[in-house]
Amino acid sequence: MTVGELAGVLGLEVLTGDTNLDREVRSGYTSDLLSDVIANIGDDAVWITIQRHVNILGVAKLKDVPAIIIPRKLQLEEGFITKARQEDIAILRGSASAFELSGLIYNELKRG
Amino acid sequence: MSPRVIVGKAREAGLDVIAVTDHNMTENTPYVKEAGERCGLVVLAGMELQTREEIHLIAVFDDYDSAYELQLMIYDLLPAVPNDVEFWGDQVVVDTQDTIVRSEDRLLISSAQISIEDATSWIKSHGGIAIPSHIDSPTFSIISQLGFIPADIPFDALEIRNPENAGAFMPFIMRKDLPFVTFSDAHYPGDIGKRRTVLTLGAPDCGNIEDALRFMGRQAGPPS
Repeated sequence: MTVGELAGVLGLEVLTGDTNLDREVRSGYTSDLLSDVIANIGDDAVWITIQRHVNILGVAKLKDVPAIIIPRKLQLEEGFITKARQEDIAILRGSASAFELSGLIYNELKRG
Repeated sequence: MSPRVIVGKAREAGLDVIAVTDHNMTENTPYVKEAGERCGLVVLAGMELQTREEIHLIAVFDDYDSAYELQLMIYDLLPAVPNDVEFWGDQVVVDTQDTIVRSEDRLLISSAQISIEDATSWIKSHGGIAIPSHIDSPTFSIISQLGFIPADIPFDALEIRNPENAGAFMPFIMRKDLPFVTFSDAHYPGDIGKRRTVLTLGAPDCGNIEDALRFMGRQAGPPS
């Protein structure tokens, strides 16, 4: 499943235009601790987090994360979105909580 | 803690300047200041605020009004979750006679919905000193929460529990001219003065502290 398909099927807002919409997503990881994500996120995994500091983009870049998914419609700063586009990281946003989003994404990916 | 005990311990420990930095609260400052004035101890008004990234940031001001203004802003940004006194203990304001003036009902260990950048800008634009706390702690530190310290946040210094280990953190600090300071982070009277930073000041106020820290940062460079 691609980032674009995942956003479509779950009704997630895409904040970074066409960035990475065609990239494959194989799994996901939910965590707000950067060191934990660095240590444990898998390959081609979307990252679900409420952290919105620009430093998370550095971690996403390091781990080649195709998309970061922000729960609960949390506000994002314009600079964050601009930087994400520059770094080729898609930013998606949903209204559900991290728990619910994780479950929904898990089900979609399991279904293939 | 009792203002008289705080001031007594600080004098006993040979301190000249202290700051009261309760978590997300500053209302104890005036009473400690009053007790300090009686024995020549300078007491600065402050707060250790917790940003939305769960970073602890020390804010220190000369005057209580600015600190109180910060508290009003922070209170509006804290979730409306009541304190559980049984679990977390009291959150009280204590006067110089050790009388409880008031008890804060809102849970103060929460995070305020403000970014580390915006909180630091606010402090600096109100004449305060902004210092991230215990950067070597595995929790609630700017490095534990953000991985590294961005170069563009106008901190005055970085507080570290073990200054001898500062070298190990240099790769995670993007601005190399920030001085390291260490404070006791005293939660109990017995901890007061256990760790301290020595500065030479023309006068014990934020402007002079800011200058001394800037000078210290330029002089020291990265610790080896």
